[in-house]
Amino acid sequence: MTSLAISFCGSMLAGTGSPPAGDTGKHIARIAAGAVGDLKQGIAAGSSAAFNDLHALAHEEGVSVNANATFALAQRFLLSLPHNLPSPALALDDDGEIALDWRGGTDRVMTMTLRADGRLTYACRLAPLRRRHGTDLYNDEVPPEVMRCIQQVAGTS
Amino acid sequence: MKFLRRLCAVFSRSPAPPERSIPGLSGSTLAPTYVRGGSDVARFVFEARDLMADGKPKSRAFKPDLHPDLRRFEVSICGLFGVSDERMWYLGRTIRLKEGKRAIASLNLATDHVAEVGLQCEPAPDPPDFEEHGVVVGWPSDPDAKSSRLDLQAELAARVHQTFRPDQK
Repeated sequence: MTSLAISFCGSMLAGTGSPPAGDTGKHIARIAAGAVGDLKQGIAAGSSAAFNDLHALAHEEGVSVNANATFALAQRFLLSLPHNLPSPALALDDDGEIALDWRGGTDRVMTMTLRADGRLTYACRLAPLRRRHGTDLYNDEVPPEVMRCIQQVAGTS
Repeated sequence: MKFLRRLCAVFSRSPAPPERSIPGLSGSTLAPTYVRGGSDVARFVFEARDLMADGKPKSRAFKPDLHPDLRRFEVSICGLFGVSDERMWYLGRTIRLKEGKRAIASLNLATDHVAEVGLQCEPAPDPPDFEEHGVVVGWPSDPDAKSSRLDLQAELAARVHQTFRPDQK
């Protein structure tokens, strides 16, 4: 059920947050994110750890996930991740960006931050001489390079 | 009670090392040797969200701050050369007490590993708020170079060789 909901909504929402979709697209994305949020709250906590953590983080910061642009974007990002990936650990940076972290093995690290306008900054460390970092745009689809990094760090590729 | 705390602080203070030149360190050539090549430094963690659920450090535990006067990015550390565990935890408990924060973990790194990453450990600019205070410098200074700094943060997080909790002996 969880994976179906994620895949279905992930593809349906693709592009709705992009500038060409305009205010209508953003409105639809907001409604859909709210609906999916309600669905997520109705399922077992263990299968929605990242969503629960996102809501916990929002609660700590005194905001609502759907009312805050960065949190809403982070929720959409979590929805667009394949369900076989481990949940990221979340935090809010001083500059208002949401940080997502994965660690694999003893020294594999993937860290990324998401800004309200979709700017995604990431750094991936697989070994001392296997490091990548960069900036990309999240537009309801995880950039392929970022996805590869997460999969390699998590050991699912 | 205050008297006992002061007494405890006096006895747990690290013995002052002789001033000497420090190979491998930038900055002053006559600096305290608490931060020196070939030894460890500790990064205190004050926020639970700087650690993964399994206790491993996140990259954000090494997020550098822009020094308002020097206009350079720095990460505060505690030099560990000749510093006892008691003194280290005394600092961890007290250095941010005004903000109501106590260290929940100490991430230990070798200064040589920091140098391998391309960063430098050096004593904190004068006047340091505590003698063992050091800083990691050498971060890309362009405010827009966030991903470059994130890359170095991830590298430091991966190279932490020991994570201690205050209740560990």
